[in-house]
Amino acid sequence: MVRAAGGIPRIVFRRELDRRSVLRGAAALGLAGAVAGAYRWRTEAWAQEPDTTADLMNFARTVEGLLCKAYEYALEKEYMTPRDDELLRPIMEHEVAYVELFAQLVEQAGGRAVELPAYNFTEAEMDDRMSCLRTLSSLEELSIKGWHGQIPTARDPRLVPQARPIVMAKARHAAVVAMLLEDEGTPFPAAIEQSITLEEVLDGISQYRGTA
Amino acid sequence: MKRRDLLRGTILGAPLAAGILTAAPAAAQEPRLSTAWDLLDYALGLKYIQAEFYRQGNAAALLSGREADYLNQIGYHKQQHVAALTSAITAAGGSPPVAPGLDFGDSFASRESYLGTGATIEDCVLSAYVGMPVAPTFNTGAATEMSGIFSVDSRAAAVLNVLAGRPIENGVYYGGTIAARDQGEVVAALQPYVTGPWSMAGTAGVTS
Repeated sequence: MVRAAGGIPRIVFRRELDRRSVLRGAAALGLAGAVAGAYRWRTEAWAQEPDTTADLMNFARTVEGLLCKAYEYALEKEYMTPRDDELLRPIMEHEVAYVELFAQLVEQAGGRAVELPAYNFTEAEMDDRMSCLRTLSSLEELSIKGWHGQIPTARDPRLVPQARPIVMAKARHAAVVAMLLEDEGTPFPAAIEQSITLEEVLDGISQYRGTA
Repeated sequence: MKRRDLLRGTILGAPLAAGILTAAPAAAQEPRLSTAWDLLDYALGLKYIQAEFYRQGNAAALLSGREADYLNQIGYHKQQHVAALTSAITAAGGSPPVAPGLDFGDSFASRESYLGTGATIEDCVLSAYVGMPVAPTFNTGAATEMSGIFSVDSRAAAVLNVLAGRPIENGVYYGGTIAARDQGEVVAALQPYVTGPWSMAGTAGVTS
């Protein structure tokens, strides 16, 4: 099980990074569209007016919630093998724990952990073992690159001890899913992990948005 | 390593170099790992061990097929990490520590010992990164790049643990989060492989 060792300190970003200044400063970081996009995506997850830290923690929670549902969906399918189950079920359990951990972080950042949006996985995307694994792999890669894209926005050193173990664990998840893809998989896509913007993460996950 | 890859390593090191250019040089009596220089020294010390481990292990030709491909790629990435960190230190006006002498004992006696030792070293290095203090003197690009280097280590750790047949939850996934180790614990764990002066043990180090 995932544990938050020694309690979770309150996490804040730089004082000047309140919501308004984020919207102003986001342009320099290439995040303006992402933040706006997040608010356009008017699911419950983005409907409130959180401070920036809570906003980002809710965003991370939303992505991990999507991964959690994707693993749940895949592991219910009879075409997944016992070895798949052995390796993927623990990942799903970790995702459940991350979703809960992010809920705590949102609240400690002064926000409200909102209801996760509905997700939708059509049969076309996960209709056999390999397509399931491809989807899981692409979501894991998206999540990791998104995490690395957000590191530059964190100014409070207290965030780093929280984030590092999760990011490192997620890299392990991604490598294992890629291994299951055998010849199609790439456990080590680059010598140094690549990063993407929030906007790119949103683009990547928007196709899975379902209707509640 | 091909020349273009070496050049690529230099490019990869640029954000790190930019990061430590903002750092004050380490004072003689400062505690360990208190500056960006210390962290780069520490990171490079770990990478020396990993790069040499895979160089020797892959040369022993213990693996075949996909396993060999994975380990060759892991070894190649470690060389790139060494190049990136070395380049960063040099570009910022520092002198990288000298690589220590290394002896991995019976690690290359068999496929199992190679994969098992590799998994142990990867897990140790990853715990070292999780246990590193935050360097306030790193710029954001440098922090991202350091994280990116060790994230790739985490991928290697997972693959090696799978290949070595280690338990899923507490081996492959390390319990879903990665425990931190401080520098003393990491040095103690890796010291058996080191045969000479070693920056991480305080017997050689980055100069700035």
